[in-house]
Amino acid sequence: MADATETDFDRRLNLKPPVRLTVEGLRVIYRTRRGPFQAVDGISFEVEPGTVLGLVGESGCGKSTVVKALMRLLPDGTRIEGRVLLDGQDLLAMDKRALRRVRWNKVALITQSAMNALDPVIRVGDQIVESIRAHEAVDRATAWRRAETLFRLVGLPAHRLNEFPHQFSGGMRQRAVIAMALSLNAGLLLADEPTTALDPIMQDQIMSRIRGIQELLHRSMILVTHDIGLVAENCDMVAVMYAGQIIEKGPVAEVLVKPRHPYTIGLHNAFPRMPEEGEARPPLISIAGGLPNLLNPPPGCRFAPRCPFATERCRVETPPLRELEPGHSAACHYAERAEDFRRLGLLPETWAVKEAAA
Amino acid sequence: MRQPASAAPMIEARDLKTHFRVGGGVFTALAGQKPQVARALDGVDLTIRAGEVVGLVGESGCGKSTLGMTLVRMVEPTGGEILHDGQPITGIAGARLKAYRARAQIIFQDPYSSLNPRLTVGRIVGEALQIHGIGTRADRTERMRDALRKVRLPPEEFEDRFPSDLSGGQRQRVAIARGLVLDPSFIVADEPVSMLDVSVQAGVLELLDELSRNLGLAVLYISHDIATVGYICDRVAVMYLGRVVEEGPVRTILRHPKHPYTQRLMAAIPNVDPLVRRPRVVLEGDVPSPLNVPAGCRFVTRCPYAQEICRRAEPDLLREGDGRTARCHLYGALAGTPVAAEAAKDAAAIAA
Repeated sequence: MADATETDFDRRLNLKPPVRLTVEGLRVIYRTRRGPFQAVDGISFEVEPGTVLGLVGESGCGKSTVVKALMRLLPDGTRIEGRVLLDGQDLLAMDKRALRRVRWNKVALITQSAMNALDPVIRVGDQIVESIRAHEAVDRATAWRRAETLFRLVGLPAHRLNEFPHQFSGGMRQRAVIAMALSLNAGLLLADEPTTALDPIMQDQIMSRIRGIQELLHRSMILVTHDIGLVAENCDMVAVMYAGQIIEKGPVAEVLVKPRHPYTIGLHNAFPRMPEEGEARPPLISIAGGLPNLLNPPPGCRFAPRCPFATERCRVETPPLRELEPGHSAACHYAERAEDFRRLGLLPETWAVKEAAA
Repeated sequence: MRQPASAAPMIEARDLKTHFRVGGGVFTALAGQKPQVARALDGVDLTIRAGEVVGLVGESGCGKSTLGMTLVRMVEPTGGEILHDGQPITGIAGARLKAYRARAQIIFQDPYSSLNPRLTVGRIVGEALQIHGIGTRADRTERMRDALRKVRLPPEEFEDRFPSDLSGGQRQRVAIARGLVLDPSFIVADEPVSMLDVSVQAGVLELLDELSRNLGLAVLYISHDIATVGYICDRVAVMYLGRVVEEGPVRTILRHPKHPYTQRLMAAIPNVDPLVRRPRVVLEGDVPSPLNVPAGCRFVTRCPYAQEICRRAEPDLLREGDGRTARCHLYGALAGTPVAAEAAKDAAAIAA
C-alpha cells in the first residue's frame, strides 16, 4: 500500500505482523433439543504466518463451525473445548474485553453473505469508519482516509463510500465486505465461502483481489470452500473435513495430486472436468449415501458407510490422523494402499457398489 | 459428449424478446415519467433438437433464467416466436396452452423449496396427472411409479415418504420425476445441481443425460458451472445481456471460444490441478443494466478490442465453418484487420 496518500495510520497498520494460528484438539458441541450435536470433533491444524490454508468439505462437515469458533461467534450454550492459539495466546480462554481487542484487530472475517453483512440504512463508508473507530482511537477524518485507501485496494472508486449497500452490485458489495475485513489489517483473515453465490467472472475478480491483497500485505488466511479448484489455485496447505473431523491434510500439491483418503479421492473425481476435443468423456463418480448422524456418531471411521474400500475394521476402529509423508497426513487404516484406491476410485463402478440412489 | 442428434428441432426460439416494465406504478405516472423497460431477452435465437442437451451459460443477470421461463410460457414473451415441434406456441391460450405446459417442464435450482413439505413423494409426483385429468386412479399410480423408477427412486421405498426425509440429491430426483410424469418432450433444468454437494451432483447430471437420450427429450441446461455444461451438453449457447453471443458444439465453443466474452468467461474458471497455472485474464466491470443496453455491440463497454464500428452497429450472428455462430465484428467487418490479429493472438495464449 505504498502510495502517496498513505497516512501515518495506514503505515502503522501496515507494520502488523501476520498471525501464527495453532488449533489443538478443537471440539464444538452444539446444544440441541435432541441432545448434544458434535459439529467439530477434536481437530488440530496450524496456519504458518503469511500462508493460506484451504478448509474443504461438503455441507454439514463442520467447516463453517470452525470459522465461527475462531471468531468466538457461536451461540450461547455451545460447548467449545481445545485451544485456539493466536501467536501463542489462547482465544478460547479470553474474557469479553480481551476478545474485543482481538476480533477485527488480529482476526477478521470475510463472510459468504455479502448481502447480510452490511447494514442497509448506513452509508458504506460510515460502516467502515465505525468499525475502525470501535477499535482504534483515531478521528473520523483519519478513519475516512483509511476507508478510501481500502476501497482503492479492492478496486472500488473512493466516491462510492458515500453510497448505500443497495446501490452496489453483488460483486461490489462483496468487495466492500472485503475492504471492511481489511480495515485494521488483521494478521489472520478468515474467508468463509467468499465467492459462493457469484458467477464465474465475478468469482475470479474477487478471488484475484483477495489473493493479491494476501500476497501484498503478507497476511495469514483460511479459505473455507467446497470448491477444489479454488483451493488448487489459492492455497498453500489444505485440510479436508468430513463429519466434523479432518480426514486429510497437507500441502495442496500433495493432497490434490496424490490424495490418500478415499473421501478426498472421491471428492476429487466427482468434479466434472471438460474432456479434450475428440477424447471420450471421463467418467464422473458420485458418492452414494450421506453424513452419519452426529447426535450419536457411530464407532469407527465416519466415512466407512460410504467408502467402497471399507472393511470390518473400519466399522469398529477409528483411524487416527497419521503422517504418511512429511507434512501430509490422512485418517485411513489403509492409506498405504492409496495408489490402488486412486486407480479404482476413477471408476464409477467402484462407487456404484453402494448405490442406493444418493 | 454424445453423437449429435440429427432429429428435427423440438423447441425453437426466433428473435425472442421478453421485456419487463419497471417502475410503472401510480407514482411514476403521476410524476409524468415514462416507465423504464428492462430488456431481459432481446432477440434470442436458439434451437434444441429431440435427444439433445443444450447448455446455457452467462453471468448473473444475463437473462438465462428468463429464457428458460419464457420457453415454457411461465413468462409471456413480448416479441418474436417460440416453435414447439414446428407449431407456433407464442400466442396460444386456454386448453392449447395447458396442453403445451404438459409437454414443456421446468426443474428449479432449490429442491428444498420447490417440493411441498406436506405431501408425500407419490402425491408430489402424481399431482400433475390429476390436474390434467389423465387416466384412472390406477393408471395414475402406475405412471407415478414409472416416473419414480426412471429417476432411480424405487417407488416401494420412496412413494410414501416426505421431502424432509430425503437428501438434496433425492429431492432433486423427485423434482425431475414430477417433470417427467406427463411425458414431456422438452425440459428446462435451471441450475439443477448448484445447491447439491459435489459428491452427489454427478448422479443427477448423469440422470439428465440418460433421460434425454433414452426418452428423446430436448433439454435446456442452465448453469453458471461451466465444467458441468462441458460434461453433459451437446451444444452450448453463451448469453450476454439478453442475447446469445456465441453458440455451437460444446467442445468447440468451450475449448476454442471465438467471442471475446466467451474467451474471458472460460479464462475465469479455476483449474483443479494445483500444478497448472492458468493465465490470468481478468474481465473488469459489471454487466450493464438491461434497463440501459449500450448501443452497437452489447459487449462494447467491456471489450478490449472494441472499435468504432462496435459502438455503432450490433453484429449479426455469423455462421462459422465449424458449426458455431458468433456475434462479433472481429469475424465479420473487422476480419483481417490488426485488431482481429491481436485478438487471435490473445485467444491462442488463453487456450494454451
